[in-house]
Amino acid sequence: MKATEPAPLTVEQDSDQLIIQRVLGGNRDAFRLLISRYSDPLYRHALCMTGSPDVAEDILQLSFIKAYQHLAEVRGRFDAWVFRIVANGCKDWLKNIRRSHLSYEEDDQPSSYATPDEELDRTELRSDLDVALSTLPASLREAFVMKHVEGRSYEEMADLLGTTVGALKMRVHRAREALQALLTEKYA
Amino acid sequence: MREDLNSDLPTPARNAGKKPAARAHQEREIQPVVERDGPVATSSDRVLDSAVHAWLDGELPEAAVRAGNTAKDVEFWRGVSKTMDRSRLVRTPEHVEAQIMAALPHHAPQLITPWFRREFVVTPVVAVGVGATLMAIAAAVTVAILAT
Repeated sequence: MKATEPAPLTVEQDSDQLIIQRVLGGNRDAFRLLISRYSDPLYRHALCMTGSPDVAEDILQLSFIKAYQHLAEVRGRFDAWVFRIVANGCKDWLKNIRRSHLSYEEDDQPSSYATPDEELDRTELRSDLDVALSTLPASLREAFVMKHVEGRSYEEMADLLGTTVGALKMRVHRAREALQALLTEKYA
Repeated sequence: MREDLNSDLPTPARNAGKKPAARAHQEREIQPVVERDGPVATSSDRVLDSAVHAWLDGELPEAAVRAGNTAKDVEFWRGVSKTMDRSRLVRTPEHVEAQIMAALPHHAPQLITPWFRREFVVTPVVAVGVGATLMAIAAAVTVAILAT
């Protein structure tokens, strides 16, 4: 009798839960789908939180390994669960590191600015913004990045971070005011 | 990075005992903030208008804040937003996925449940077995006591 082979997995069709079941059943390769599905937003979060591509890669890698090892313990949404692992990884790293300035290059990304002058202004603001962001406490930086870089709603942020919408609004507002105060002399 | 021993206090209270010149000097600096949830050191006491916050939160249209005192703030945040657009284009480097896959354990993930959280199922066979064991232990103890 011919053994029934599982249908090939596709990024678009399969739910996270189905993929998790396959990984738990021994199909290690299926985990690749979860990585490709969620790595970009998680990498962006880690990059904005740490300011370093190398550190962001390390945190992402360690987080996915941890997620794999504890995959059987997932209850509810995988994306929220793995986000919390990455967010905690970032906060742990920030706790352990003491630095005054870190910046990162992302110039391999296509430019969408109209003129070279505008491009230069944006690059300068980006750099100053990174410095200003790095001076914020982790909780304010996290809230600001989730709101303004990742474009999440307050409700989604509250769900992911396990806190209230009001507390997150307060953090984002304080982060904005701190950033504007730090950058206002040069740009406002 | 400097540690601020007064970091638990609100900014005005922290500055209350300082001379104006020293305070002004402190305010001019951009200070790295230690990892805490306390107040953020800023270069001025300026507070962003609540209407601007509402606009940035998507609760007000831009037309409501574009004119008047908030016009400069709107321009500033439009610039920040355009700059942030680039961050949204960042993708995970291609080699990372392969690195993660190579670093994964080769066995399937196992559910590791502590013994106190495990579910005990009592079947008739288990019940008889446990009962017989207890009776045997009781008999052995009785024999030992009678022998002494």
